[in-house]
Amino acid sequence: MKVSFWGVRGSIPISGVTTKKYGGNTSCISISSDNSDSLIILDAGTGIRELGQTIIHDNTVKNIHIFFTHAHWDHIQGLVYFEPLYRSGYKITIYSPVKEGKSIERILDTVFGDAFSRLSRNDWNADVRIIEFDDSTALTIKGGYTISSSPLNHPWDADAYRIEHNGNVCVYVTDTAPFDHLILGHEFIGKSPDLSTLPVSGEIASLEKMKSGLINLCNNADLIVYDTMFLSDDYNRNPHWGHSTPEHAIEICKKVNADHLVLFHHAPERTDEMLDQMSEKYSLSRNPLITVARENTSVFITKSGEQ
Amino acid sequence: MKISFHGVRGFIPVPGARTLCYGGNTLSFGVETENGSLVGIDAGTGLSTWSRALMARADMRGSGKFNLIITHTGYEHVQGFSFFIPALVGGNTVNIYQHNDINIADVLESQVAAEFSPMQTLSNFGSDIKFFSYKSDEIIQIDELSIVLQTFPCGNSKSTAVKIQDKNSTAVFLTQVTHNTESIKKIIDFSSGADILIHDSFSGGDITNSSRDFSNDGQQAVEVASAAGVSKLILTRYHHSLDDKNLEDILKRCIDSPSNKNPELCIELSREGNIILI
Ligand SMILES: [Zn+2]
Ligand SMILES: [Zn+2]
Repeated sequence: MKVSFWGVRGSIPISGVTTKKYGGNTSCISISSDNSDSLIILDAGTGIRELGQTIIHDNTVKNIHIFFTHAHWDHIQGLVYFEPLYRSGYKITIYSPVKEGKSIERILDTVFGDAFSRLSRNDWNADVRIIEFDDSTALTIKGGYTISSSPLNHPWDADAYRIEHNGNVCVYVTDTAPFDHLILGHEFIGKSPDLSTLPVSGEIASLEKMKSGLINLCNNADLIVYDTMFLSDDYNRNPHWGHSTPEHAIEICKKVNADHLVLFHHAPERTDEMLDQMSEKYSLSRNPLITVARENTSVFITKSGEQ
Repeated sequence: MKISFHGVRGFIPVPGARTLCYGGNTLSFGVETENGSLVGIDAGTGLSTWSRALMARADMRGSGKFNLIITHTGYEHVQGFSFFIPALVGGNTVNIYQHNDINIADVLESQVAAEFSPMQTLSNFGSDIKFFSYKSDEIIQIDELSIVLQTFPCGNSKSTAVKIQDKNSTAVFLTQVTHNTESIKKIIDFSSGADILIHDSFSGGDITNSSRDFSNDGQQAVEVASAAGVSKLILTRYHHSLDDKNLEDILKRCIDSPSNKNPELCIELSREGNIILI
């Protein structure tokens, strides 16, 4: 299994010399395997533009399956510039879990709507299907992939995805706050809450449930890609923004014995120098192995002997 | 007049090594008045980058005023607004100016709707955000700057040209346009005699395709600038496929262009981080 990173930032893309090494595009990863013309794409941040160009150029992938963790712009804003959508010869399936307050049709209509975009859904020439699925069961898709999901702790909503292929497992966990203090949902929280008063008793069970759901999803994972946008100071200042620190990610990885943790969804202000320091800090860890996500790189999972 | 460039890309931001010189942020320009008042033009990702630098100003931390003109509803003109830090700070005021023909307020509101943004609605932003609509013949006065807006065709929609004048100089911004013969006449008239014209360089073609033909990019801007007698033309809104070298090729073709009837016309590429004093 090959996991490729096309966009590793959160919030908003960032250009310039101080971020050129790790990259400035927002969240998008792809998952592929030997002997399959199917490609799985997780999130459509600005990184998906370059992925689209690569798909056209390489001309091997014909079946494309797109999942979104949620519809915050940093996870969908590149979709309009994903060129395979406009080319015939591609089969593209867009999946969305059925959820209260969520409509994939409405999301696509907005992103491709007249106000924001000069390209509309009518311009699509690919064979595009939209599938809303029940997220309580695993989904099997063409090419031998099994996909399951679990809800995350993030404003409005977000889901983690587990992708399994021939015994190789990658779990994509973004965006999420830890499960220690408060549940983030549809209510807007404008001010930073006082952590010493949290969690309130009414939320303890829901936090536990969400955490154990994620731990189940991550069970036996070879690779976990995790939202570590925050350092601990950032979390203490803004626990209601819905992001984690590397320590939160490590805690989950240790519980499930994951082999490899990739720190992901970097804050736009995190420079190459800071990310190099982060990489250095965790470079001695072996259980799990910890690396920092970098644009235009891939990680191979070869546990089952195939790529 | 002091003009600064923070985002010069159209369509979609393209960070990375191939855009390091001219920049990969979407549209954002700034004009600063003599006593430090700020006018932003467009709110692409460049505005968010600029705003991190703006936070060094004491006033932006709770007593500041920022004036923002948004020229078009396309995502490249608005996508940085949610991460424009002064708009999130309580005590600040953000005045947003729009032409009557265009409804920026609704677009910004739908951009920050709950599914798409953790802010959920503009009223959750800490600052006081106010919208002002102007007709083509009305003047917006900000300190010594007199500003006029006029709309131009742009596919199925309209985009706004912005003319900014102080006692010594005139700058015209047209960030996005699909010119026809009539609109070319109109923009030549609108920018006639300006010192500086900052003009869309995209010449059409397939929006998503990275191998589109860019040999005509900037040519219409040259035609407008030379007919309007402006002293300096600055090309902007580059397609995402163009790398730094491509942009220099476009500049060279524009300088040598047969549409350039004015040998005195100075043509430059807009570049993130640049500041121009007129
Ligand atoms: Zn995000
Ligand atoms: Zn998010």
